[in-house]
Amino acid sequence: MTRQATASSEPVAPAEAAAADATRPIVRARGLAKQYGDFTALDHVDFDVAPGRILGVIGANGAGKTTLLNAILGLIPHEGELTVFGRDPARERAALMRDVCFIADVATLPKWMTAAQVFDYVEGVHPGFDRTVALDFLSRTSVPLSKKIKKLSKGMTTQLHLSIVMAIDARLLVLDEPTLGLDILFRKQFYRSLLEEYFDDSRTIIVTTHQVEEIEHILTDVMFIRDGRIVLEAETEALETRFAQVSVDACHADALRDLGPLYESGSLGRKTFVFDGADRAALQRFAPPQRMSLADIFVATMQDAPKGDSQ
Amino acid sequence: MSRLTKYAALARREVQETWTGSVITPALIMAVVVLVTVLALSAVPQGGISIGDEGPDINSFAELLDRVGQEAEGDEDKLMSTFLLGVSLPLALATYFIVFFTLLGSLYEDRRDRSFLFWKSMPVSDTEEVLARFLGGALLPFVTVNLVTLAGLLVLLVCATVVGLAQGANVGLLWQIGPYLQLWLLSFPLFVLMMLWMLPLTGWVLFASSVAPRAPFAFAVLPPVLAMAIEGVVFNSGRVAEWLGRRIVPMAGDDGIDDVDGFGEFYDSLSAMMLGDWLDLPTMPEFYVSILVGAAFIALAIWRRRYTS
Repeated sequence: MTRQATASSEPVAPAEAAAADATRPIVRARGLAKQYGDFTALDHVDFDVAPGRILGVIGANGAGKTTLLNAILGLIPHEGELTVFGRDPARERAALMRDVCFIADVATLPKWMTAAQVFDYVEGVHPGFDRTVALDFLSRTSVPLSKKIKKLSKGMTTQLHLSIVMAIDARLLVLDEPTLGLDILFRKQFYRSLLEEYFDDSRTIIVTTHQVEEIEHILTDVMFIRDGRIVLEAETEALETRFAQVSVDACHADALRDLGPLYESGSLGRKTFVFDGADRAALQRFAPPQRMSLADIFVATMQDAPKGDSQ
Repeated sequence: MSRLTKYAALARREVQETWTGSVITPALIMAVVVLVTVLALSAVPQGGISIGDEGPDINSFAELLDRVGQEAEGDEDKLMSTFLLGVSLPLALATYFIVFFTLLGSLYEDRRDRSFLFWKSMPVSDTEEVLARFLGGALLPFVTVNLVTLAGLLVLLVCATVVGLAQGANVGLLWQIGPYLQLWLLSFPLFVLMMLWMLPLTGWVLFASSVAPRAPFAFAVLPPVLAMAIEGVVFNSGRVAEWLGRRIVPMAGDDGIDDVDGFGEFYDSLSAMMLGDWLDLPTMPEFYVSILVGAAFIALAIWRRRYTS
């Protein structure tokens, strides 16, 4: 017996085991790839998702976001290594769905059903579903239980879907453009409900959206994807110190270019430079560095990254 | 949560989803059949009919019952059972169409409206999901149609009894339906045999439903039609058509109803032919080939479902 095997057979204290679980990645990808004919949707990406995080996966249309989520959800076969809660999603989707919930970019609830029928079904097949929680959430909306889903507005359908997700004791929630097509009020309410009533330290959320500015404040981590590759992966708190934007008169442009900007744009005789990890004191000599929004960082990163370039 | 609870939820969903095809449509067809039959019986006094070459015209439903009772003396129950089988025939034939279209939409419709993503977000395996859809399309309609048929026939008999009583007829004949009820009860296990025998057809339709990008009807119908046409042109034979036809009606064609004398013999031949053909199936190697072919199509549908995204 090897020393390693002997060590692993020793009893582990419950507190240590719990601590290990709390830090172990719930999603682990190594060399994850997906090819559709000549099109590379995912190009051998590596990443981990830790528990208790809210990860925003951000990219342009066709960047590979949905493919990434579909792989995590076991909806597509893939190359490379991918585990979710230690399981291979492509082989163990059904078992995985006890711990994973997802809302796709389109209204996926079966239109011929009523809300009550959907609850009946989920209650019958999902061991983690609590009907009272779903009913309680729905009672605060105007969604009728007896109306067929095809008669509901898109906002109501999303609220109904959210009520199901809220009532399932899942550890990972995957959201693929969940608020697409909803008005601003529904969108705000959707994310507020997620944060206030769903999210806690034991749960993880992976979300993709084009409305980056609306979810920026709730994200703990971001992942930018372009052409199937991860071009940025960071904690949102770190982005503030890492990225900076400086606007100067055109006469200072050359000096700033020497500092290696990530992105440069010009307007009305002024030049704006975006820096990744630059010395703030050096920038301060030209102009006060400005805090950048996630959308601004995304645009700068996407503009900069040449096709095929990796992180 | 037990598997039984899960399967009960899947079964309930299938009943709910196929309600229109499996219950409403058969109920409407049966209602029309019952209505037409009741109107036809009510019309007897106006039109007047005759039975056989001899005897007076019949001018009322009561006279009709008396005359038919005389003609079928000793075999009244078989006469009534033959009558009930005849009345239920349109719905029995419609069942094949109901099964076809229910299966055709079973995996296609939820891909079309993207609701398959919701089903896949539940802890239900693709095998369980596809088998639930298959049983919901291939077996459930037979069961519901059988129940609807019996309910419709009972309504018909009650209506006929009321009309008969109003005319002072002896309505006891109407309720001599023992042989029919026996056949009706036997039909439930027969459905399982039928389902297995028809598995290549139903499995193929399910597979078509799982893969057709659009127009699943054409996807399901054109390949076998083309196969039949090509065989006819190239080999001048019709084995594909014969093989497919036998999946629906497994009769060999040489044991039909000939030289029968009276209702009793007619019913005996009819029921023996119906039961015999189906009950003989497990003795034929072709039965097990059918199961294998059908199972292969269902396995392909499960495989396709697994990677639908």
